[in-house]
Amino acid sequence: MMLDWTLLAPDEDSRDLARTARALFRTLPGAGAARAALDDGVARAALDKDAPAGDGTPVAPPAWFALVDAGYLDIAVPEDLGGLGRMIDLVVVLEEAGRSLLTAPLLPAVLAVQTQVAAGIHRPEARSAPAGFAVASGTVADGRCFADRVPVLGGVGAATLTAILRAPDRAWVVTLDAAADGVEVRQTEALIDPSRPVAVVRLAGAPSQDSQALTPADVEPVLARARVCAAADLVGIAAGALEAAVAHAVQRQQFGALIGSFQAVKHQLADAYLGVERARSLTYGAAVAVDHTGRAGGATTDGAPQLSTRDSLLAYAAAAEVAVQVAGRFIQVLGAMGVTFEADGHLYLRRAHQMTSLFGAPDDHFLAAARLERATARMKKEARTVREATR
Amino acid sequence: MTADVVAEFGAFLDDFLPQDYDENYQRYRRDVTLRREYQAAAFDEGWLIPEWGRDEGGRNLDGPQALAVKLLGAQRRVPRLLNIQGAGVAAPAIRAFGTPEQRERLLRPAARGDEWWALGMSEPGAGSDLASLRTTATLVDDVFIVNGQKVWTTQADEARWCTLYVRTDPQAPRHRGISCLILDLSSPGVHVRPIRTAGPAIESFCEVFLDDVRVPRESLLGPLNGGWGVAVASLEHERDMIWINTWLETNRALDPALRASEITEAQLVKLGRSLADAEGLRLTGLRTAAQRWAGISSPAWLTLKLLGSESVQRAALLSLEVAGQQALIDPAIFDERLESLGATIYGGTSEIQRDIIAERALGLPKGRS
Repeated sequence: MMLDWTLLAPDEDSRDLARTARALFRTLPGAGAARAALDDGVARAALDKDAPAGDGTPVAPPAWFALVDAGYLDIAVPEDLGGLGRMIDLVVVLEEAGRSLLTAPLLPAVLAVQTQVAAGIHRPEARSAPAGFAVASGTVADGRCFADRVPVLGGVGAATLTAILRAPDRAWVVTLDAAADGVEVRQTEALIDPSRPVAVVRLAGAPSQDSQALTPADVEPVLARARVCAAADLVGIAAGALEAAVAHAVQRQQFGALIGSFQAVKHQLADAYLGVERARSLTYGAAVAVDHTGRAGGATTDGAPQLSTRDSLLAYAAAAEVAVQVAGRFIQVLGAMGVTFEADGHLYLRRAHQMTSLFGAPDDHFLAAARLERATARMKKEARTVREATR
Repeated sequence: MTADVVAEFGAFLDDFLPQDYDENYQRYRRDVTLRREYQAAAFDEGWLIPEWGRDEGGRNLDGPQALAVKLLGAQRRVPRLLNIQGAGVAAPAIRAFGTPEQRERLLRPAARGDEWWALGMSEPGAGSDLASLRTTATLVDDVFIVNGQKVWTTQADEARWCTLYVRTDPQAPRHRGISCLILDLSSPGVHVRPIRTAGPAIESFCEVFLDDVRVPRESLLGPLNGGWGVAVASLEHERDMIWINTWLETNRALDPALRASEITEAQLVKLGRSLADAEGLRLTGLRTAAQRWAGISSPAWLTLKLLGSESVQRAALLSLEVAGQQALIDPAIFDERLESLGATIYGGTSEIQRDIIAERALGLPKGRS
């Protein structure tokens, strides 16, 4: 299979989209709000604090509606479901969101929507309200969901929850009304990044709205779309931290010279740049592969789902690894300022570790990709043996 | 249509390569006759440098088509050229900077592999700091009299020609007093001495002593005192395309880990990281090429040499680890590991690559303190 690699260079439309997104995100709460949330707590960050007190239903912050109006939730959703555009378009928008430390719940909603699309249970109306997303251990029986601890990204203020619940021998993609009976919120405070909060919930027989059962082998292909989106966010986090580190290195002087002229500093930043570009290439490549596979992760004859699954694993692993590395390096380049509350270093680091803690360490994903590639190599070898035997 | 062109190249490979090429690749990759014949056959059919014009031995393919052909070649693991820098570095330099006479005489044999080339750049006192080179050439009655010494000159003992970088204006600022000469290595006063390498290297490398060597004025490549431009263009060309070869080498080095019946989890993690290296390299090469064709400038291509050489190294190290005790009695595995350590030195060390990335991609100030 050969992909059209001109797709790897975002076209004029994608670049316009990225520019518009960057300009919009600059006007929405970002680093300042992320810092404030550490003092003010989760509720103020995730909900509209100025909304009139009513029946207790959470009211989404104005920034959410700006994202809906911009159409970002519709990107990479199939046209018959009211969507438009390709995964690469969504990737460039999410990268800008990561870079700007956007606090509005774009990523969790996108992860929910894309997982619904992959599982074949998406409804267009799900895109109009904030949605939480989770992957956790749990079961579904007779349309009721059971799980002890489900860390839901974007869970505070969400109208719906989308979760992949995994049992040893099977799994489910479910959507739930966040206010349904049996959805019990266990914890929303004391988070490493309250600006994009995680709510830990218990599912005690909560009824699913829609659900799709999966075999264990289906889980990774269904997750591929969400994983590419997570990778895009992480590439943005890393790129934002690198830009900020470079900005500091070209204005801070020591020993009578800009610190960016010292090889000990510039080589660290060059390595960071290489890592960001490597992860970005993998993420764009996985986005193109996911579009090629189509909406479902089901088996096809050309091995495309396997390829996009592997690519999404590699993209996530590389992006997660580089986001953690570069955020740490940014703190180092800032010197003592790097460990202060006022500097932005910890904000990037919080985001990076929020993602790796939620969705898994890079090494686990490298390992899964390696297993998949070895299985593919074995299959190819067997196919060749059969071909030769029958020649 | 790109697909048609690629299919035609595939048919050429089916026709040329032995039936058992894939299964016995390890043997064939050391087959000197096959490698020589492949280069000549691929050039004669216009596949070796397909972006060149038909009158130069190419197929006049556009950038995307030519890249598709080269990628298929790497995927099929076509035989490695015996004298890579001839077709890969010297020929493009002659094509870009040569006089009509030089192109007529030298281009085709260099590309076809009939005449081998060496690159006379490094000197004992000028390694990474190429601009400090001290080999001199003095023009006397339309003949350059050359004196000095080159070192680490790959295949100088087997090559016919050498692009020799010399100082022609000692008064000028260091970058502006260098010229590139085309040296016939059989000239009187040239003494080549091979240097023994730590392991059985694929290509030899040598010292070249130059003692009152006479080089005719017509053998100047590019402008007098314009040699720095020739060197930079040559190295950029190399950095721009070498990733395809490095991608092939990385994949090749990963074969044992992909096929080993026993492998630890720690090794699987490393394998995954190496897969990300290989895919990251391929996708960065493709992405930056696509960007260039679309008229968007991105400095990401500057990372290709650094990423590629480190990818090969990590893959070779993994291969040795996966071999376990077998590595003790199969020196070829260690030799590849040793050979891979050269990748971050030749063609511009990783330290120089990081300087280039930091200064040109990130805009950090010059300085090496």
